Amino acid sequence: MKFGFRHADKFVGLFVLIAIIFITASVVVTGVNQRWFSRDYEYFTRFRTAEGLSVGMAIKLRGFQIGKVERIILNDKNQVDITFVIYDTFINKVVGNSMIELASNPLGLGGGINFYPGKNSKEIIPEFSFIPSDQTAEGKKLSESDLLDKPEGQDAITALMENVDPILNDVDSLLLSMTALLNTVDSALSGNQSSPIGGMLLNLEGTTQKFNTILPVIETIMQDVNRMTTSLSLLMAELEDPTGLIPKLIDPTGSFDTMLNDDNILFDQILILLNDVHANLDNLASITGDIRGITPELNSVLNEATGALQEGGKVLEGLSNNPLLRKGISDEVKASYEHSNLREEDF
Amino acid sequence: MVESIGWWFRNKIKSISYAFNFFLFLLKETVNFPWNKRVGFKVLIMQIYFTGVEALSVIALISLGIGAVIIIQGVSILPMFGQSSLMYSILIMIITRELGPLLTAFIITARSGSAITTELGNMVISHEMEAYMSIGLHPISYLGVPRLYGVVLAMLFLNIYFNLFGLLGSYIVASFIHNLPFDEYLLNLIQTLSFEDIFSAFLKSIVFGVIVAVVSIYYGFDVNRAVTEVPQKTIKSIGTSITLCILADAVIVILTRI
Repeated sequence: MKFGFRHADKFVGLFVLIAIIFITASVVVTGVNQRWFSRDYEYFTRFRTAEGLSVGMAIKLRGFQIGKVERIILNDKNQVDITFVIYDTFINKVVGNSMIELASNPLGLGGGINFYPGKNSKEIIPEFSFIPSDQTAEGKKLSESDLLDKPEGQDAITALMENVDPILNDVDSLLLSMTALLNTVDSALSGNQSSPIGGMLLNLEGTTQKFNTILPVIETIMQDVNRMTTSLSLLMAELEDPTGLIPKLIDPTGSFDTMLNDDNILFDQILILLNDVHANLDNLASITGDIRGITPELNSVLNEATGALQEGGKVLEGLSNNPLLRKGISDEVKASYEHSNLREEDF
Repeated sequence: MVESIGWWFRNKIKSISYAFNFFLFLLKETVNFPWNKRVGFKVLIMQIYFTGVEALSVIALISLGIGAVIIIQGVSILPMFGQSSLMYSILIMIITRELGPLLTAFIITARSGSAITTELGNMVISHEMEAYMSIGLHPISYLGVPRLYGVVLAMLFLNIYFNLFGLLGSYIVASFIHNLPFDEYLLNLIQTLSFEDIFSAFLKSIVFGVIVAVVSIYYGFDVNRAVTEVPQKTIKSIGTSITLCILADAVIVILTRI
């Protein structure tokens, strides 16, 4: 007989036992978490209006939740009666001269009910008793007296500021991030960083130096070209008038005669001109070679400039999609440039 | 054509009526089960063993995988939106409330539901039902009810194990990839877990268990004479069980969220 079948009863028993232990533990832990086994002490207070109040609203003492609102009803005198509970762990704070205050704010940033215990009393207020709110005459009297354990500045504005504070913290961290970003950009612009912007600027500097060495040569060539253009324009002006040119050419004392009997002066001049043209063409070939030499570097510079622009775009997107406002920086698949390294390029 | 539609409609009504009566009879016998001395508790134990204990490894593997994936994805993505605490809600929502009961029901349907239909179908063909009746045992009471109990209990316990592995076991898997303090994880999980979540999971387990067991037993007894009917009924049993489980899940979700 199979081992499992022989001991099926034991396996099933163990299977059931572990499951029951786990579920019992889960239910107990959940019960403790939801305060099933704790005692709550009930009290009531009164407000002029239920504006800003809701069932389940937390009652806080110096930031600690010590209870919650259970019921809100409108009584016969058109006043709002609030029934609330105080947790058993904080019941010793509910002493004589205690007061309840509604800390709502007009900006809709939430609010709460603050509980202020009395100062000079140790006697715990019995359950189901009335605890005055700041909207009642007793509460106002307590508020003006020195009997209330109320920290300085702990009013509605303070509660509002407590809500604003996390937002300001977030803004502060955003500003810190922006400062760090600006420092990085500054450092990159100074050429002190190995980031894409830094590398790009270094490459740009080298390229500019090479351009500076080439520029005088280009200037010389441009002067030669200018001279040739002037000669050509003169020639074209002469050619524009064929009636005057032909007689001059065929005249026995004209150009042809001068050309044939000038002891090769004209030919020498043409030869010099051709030599100049040859030298200019050599210079042009040299420049073309230089430009071809720096093309990969230009490619690399352009590639890095593209990368830097993409990074800048992401930063701007990150700022506009800040988690405070939207949904952060979206993932992006990077497309690698074909010639990211000069050695990889096929010349 | 009108005649054939009428015939089809009459047959449908007849079969639905038969299935409903079968279900009521099975329920009546199920209620009487603890006081019925002639039924075999051994059949119940063996059914829990086959359906629950033997399916534990599959359930553990699936729940570990799903739980670990949720934790890893949650730890990676949710902090980007400043919503890290949502991971625990998602974990409870998926493992405890939704996927746990439904996946357990699917696995039990595929493993045990089909086995019950095949076994009962073959017993009908070999005239074992007549043999039981000849000695005064009702086949539904003796064969059907312990299987119903076994499947429902196994479903309930397997769902608990699904949660155990999915919520706690998956933490171990995820801890190899992300450094997440266990005490922080457990505390957040406990604070997120509510009684409604546990109740919803229990309710679903019981409903799905009843659906899978009743459908499988019904199709097993629905076999008439031929051996070829057995695989046909088994396929129908699996399809019907899965469909009814999904419908019941939708209804329970709507009811518990209203």
